[in-house]
Amino acid sequence: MAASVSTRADEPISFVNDVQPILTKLGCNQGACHGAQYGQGGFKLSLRAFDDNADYTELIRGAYGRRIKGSTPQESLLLTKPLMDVPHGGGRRIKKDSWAFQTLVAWLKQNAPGPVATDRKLKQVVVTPSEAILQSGQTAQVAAKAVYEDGFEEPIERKASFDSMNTSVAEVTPEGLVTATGKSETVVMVRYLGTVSVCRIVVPFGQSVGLENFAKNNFVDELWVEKWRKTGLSPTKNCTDEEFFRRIHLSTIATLPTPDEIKAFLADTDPDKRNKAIDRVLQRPEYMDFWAYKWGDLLRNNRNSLQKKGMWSLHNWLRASFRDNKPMDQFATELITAVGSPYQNGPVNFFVNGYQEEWTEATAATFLGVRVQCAKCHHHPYENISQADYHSLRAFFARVGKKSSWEFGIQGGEFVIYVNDTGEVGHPRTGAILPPKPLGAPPADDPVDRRRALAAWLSDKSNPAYARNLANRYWGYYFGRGLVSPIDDMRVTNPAANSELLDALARDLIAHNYDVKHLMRTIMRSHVYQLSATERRAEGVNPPSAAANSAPRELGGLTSPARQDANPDGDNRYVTHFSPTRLKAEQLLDAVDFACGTQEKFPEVPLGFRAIALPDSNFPNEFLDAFGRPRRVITCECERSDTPSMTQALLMISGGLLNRKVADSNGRIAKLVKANTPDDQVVDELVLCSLSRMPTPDEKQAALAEIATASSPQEGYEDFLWTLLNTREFQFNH
Amino acid sequence: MFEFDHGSSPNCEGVSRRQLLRVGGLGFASLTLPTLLRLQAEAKANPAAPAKTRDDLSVILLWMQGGPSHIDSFDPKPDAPAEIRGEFGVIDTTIPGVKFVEHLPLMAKSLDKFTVIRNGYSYNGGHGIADAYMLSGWRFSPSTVYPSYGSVVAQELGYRKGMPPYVQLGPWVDKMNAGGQAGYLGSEHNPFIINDDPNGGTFNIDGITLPGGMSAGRFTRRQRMLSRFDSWQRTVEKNANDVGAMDAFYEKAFSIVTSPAAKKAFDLSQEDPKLRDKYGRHRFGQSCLLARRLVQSGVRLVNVSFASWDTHANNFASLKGTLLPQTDTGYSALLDDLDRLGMMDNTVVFWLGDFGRTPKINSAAGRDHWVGSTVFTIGGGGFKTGQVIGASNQYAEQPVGKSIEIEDIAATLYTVLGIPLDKHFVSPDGRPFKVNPGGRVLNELLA
Repeated sequence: MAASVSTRADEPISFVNDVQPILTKLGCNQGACHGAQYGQGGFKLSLRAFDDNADYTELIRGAYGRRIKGSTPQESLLLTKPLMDVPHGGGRRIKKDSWAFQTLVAWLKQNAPGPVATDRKLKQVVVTPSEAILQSGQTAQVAAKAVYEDGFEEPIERKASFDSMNTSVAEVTPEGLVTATGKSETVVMVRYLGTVSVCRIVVPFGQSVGLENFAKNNFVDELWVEKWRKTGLSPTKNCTDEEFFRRIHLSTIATLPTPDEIKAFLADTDPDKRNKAIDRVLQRPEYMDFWAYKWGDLLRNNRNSLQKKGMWSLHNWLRASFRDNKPMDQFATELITAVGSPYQNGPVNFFVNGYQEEWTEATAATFLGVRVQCAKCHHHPYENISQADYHSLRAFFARVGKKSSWEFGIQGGEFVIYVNDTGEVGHPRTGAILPPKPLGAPPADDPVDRRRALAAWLSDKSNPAYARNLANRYWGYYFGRGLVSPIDDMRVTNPAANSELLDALARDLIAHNYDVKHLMRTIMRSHVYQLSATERRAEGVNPPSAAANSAPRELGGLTSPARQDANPDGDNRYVTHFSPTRLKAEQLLDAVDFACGTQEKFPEVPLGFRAIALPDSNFPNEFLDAFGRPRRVITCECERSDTPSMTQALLMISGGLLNRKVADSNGRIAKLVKANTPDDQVVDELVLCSLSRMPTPDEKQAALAEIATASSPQEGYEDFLWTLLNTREFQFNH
Repeated sequence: MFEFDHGSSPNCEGVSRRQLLRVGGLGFASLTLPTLLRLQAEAKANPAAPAKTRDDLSVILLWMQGGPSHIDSFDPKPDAPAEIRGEFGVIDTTIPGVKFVEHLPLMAKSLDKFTVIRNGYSYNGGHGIADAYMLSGWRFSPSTVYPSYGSVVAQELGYRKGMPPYVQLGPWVDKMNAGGQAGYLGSEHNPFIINDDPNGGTFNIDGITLPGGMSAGRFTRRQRMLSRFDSWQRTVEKNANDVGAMDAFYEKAFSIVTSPAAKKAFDLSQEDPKLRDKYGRHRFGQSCLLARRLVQSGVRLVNVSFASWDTHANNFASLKGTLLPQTDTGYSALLDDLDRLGMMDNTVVFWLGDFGRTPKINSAAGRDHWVGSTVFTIGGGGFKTGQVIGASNQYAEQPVGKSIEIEDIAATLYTVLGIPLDKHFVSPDGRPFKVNPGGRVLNELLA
């Protein structure tokens, strides 16, 4: 088909607004190709065209002028390379009959004009529709229009780059024609001149059932019912009291309930007993241990970078913060604006690692869940964050100084963080001084300490960014998956599974003055959190019977078609049931200790210090490492590994640590034996302290029969406890 | 319609997942329930086609992470200008006229034990993607993780002598795009990764034998009780994946614990110190030796990972200082040893990396990523040895004539292993995938 060469027939081709988008769309300047730090094959472009001047110079002057040949445009390397007329490391990228090719030829024929001051400045990209609900196989055209500051508008489907963020839900052609290929939800990203915009594509799973009868405990449930209706999903049944009770303990305080607590809860007839149990668990002292540990991961609390004194100082501040349920806006403010000695003032340790850039990145990751690292050197490829935005955020830290102890007469490795009177940040390319400016907000400053302006912006009740991040994080902690997933990758091209809910949780958190316990209570009280871990079955498919449960275990992992049908949302993004989550390394070790009645002794801390109470991960322990304990060197939830492995199975089966604990001479079993406890009561207690429930009559009978075959009751009890610890029911929060 | 050849593809390769699916034969939308049922039944009933698979065959991958320079190893260009030729001289090999760079003298003498493929083409120029692509034979897709060779072997041939089928030595396989992983086959087929340095003094792997003093009878009771009590996971979603994966790990861990083979396999002290010297007292050398012990004990595929080949700067210093000499001792000693032990015919040794490196040396005395040309070496286990296949052009920029891509080598490898190329797997979300995207079987490589 013939191609019209320009979108504005009477205007020359613009390098900035025509050629650069083409190079981006062809992939020339992507990170794996010429957009790499040193380019490829001696030809270097700025990543996705963030630096027009440098790219133009490279094209015109590089390679002895062979890239651009004004006299014989068709011989320019700019064309012969992507056509593969000459060897090209990146393969064939363009066809001769394409609009892109002809536009490049036309530009060359016009003597390849470079960037000029009169180039139109983009105001915004308008993508329509903003959301499309499609059935599988259906198509829809996404329209994209550029609006420039001078009022000029043009359609840009041929220039903009279209990408589906999940091609198993929807695919998109280079010109924006979307085809629904699977079921679920994704976005199509439209990239043009450093901006990204999205069109949300929803492909419903099927037809929801039973939503009208779903009990709604609070707004969380209301908003999920809406979402399920739209996506055609149905929730499963309510969980049992035992499951609920174990779940809130593990999720909130990483501690198993005691047999007595479980029995009392089960016996309680108060209809409001679940809500009361939630309130009790939020008041437990282990709360501060667990959340100091969670935030210790995020704030990278570790002695290798902070020294032991700094590590303890930060740890104690974290514990005090969670003990007092410090409002989270105050928590952030104390960290961001800290001054003084890191040994004496815990939050100062936020500034011990690295310098301005690390602080900028840690601030964005910790409080906003945004990964800004990309924008340090170039425009963020999947977010509207420019290099100027990154360095304007960095400007908040431009006046933060470090002074070593020998400068103020104290021996030892101490230093202080203080605020200088001066200090600016320049744009790395233009050198222009950048005023401090939060992401996506106007500049903000403070006469004493710029960081106070940043903290004020974060805490501003009209700014939901921090609260959205907190809500997403805590949702993720409770459900094993954030509404935005990964939990710390909030960006416009990675939308939440339920954005209305995320916004509502953020609003509610702000309305309750950043009371994070209120957020946790809201989540736990919701019917959605109290759903069973057992999926809803498709109509006509029987739930697994007791007979099925006792059948030999089925290996291989292929799920049956009936299950597929019943559970179309394989990742459970839409929480139609509770996704079982594995206990984290420290939780698992503590749970093993609790069940065995033992205490792991860690060096340098007194006996009784639990794994979740440790201030950092430098307490040598092979078990904790094998189960994915992070080293705390990067600000990312992903540093903690959740992947099951052969090593873990070996440690649980035959590892020295676990087997010693089961048989510990002062352990739970030893005490039960000493007290001449009858066999059936031993079985009850062992099941209660590991699985947090009573054994079924069948299980009890089977356990007693096996114990009777052992050479001594003690040996039988040990084997039974070992068995319980090796069940998935023990190793998962469900 | 106007068409960009590759559109706004997310990487250099420029092929969408949907196109690949079409290569695979079936689209999800067209997959009817009976088809799915049949595929799953086949997968279950006939998982390995055991009559045809080569149960005696083992594979050792030598993975040069970062991308080894083809010009500065097995495909030198002594007649090219200095800015391409580089600093290294060349030496003769056992084949007249075939030269290697001077820092691979032992490999030059061992060319009778492997084949050099000089018309390689790597399609992709990014790390991470390379680990996924080169170790699976499937071009990268943002929405599907294809299983690596070891995972396919684990799935298809399973455990041998109670040893885990797929072992990775060292951590140098980039997991950013799940390189070296099992992908849709499920994490039970991920490699058993050993991060301990076999060249270190304290090399030891905990938990591979019965707990101290426990009788086999008592251990059997524990296993029996566990199979009775661990029925819970049947009632919850298996799609949490971890739940199902732990299941498989347990099954296999039991077999390892109860087998004496595992303990012995990892014990390098049973080897003659002189032989250990010959492999080289460095991590790569001792890993090659450990790889040999592991395949002897029953492991089917070992990936020996070797870091630091991404020589954007100081290419020549690092190649000459460590990378080439260690490759030379470790790789050649492995070939000699397999030959000495009569294991050559049933052990494939395959050397590969991310991609080639730019023929033209950059301003930092380095070479950057190069898609156009790359080199592979392979031998043993039914692969022909003592030959050079194909050639790159005069400046090692691109293959002369037809290229060989990893898809082709993967197809050949699977064929040698007896895994049929039209074999289908079904991913947990019900999509069918072939084992290989249609690579050509390279008969010129086969003995």
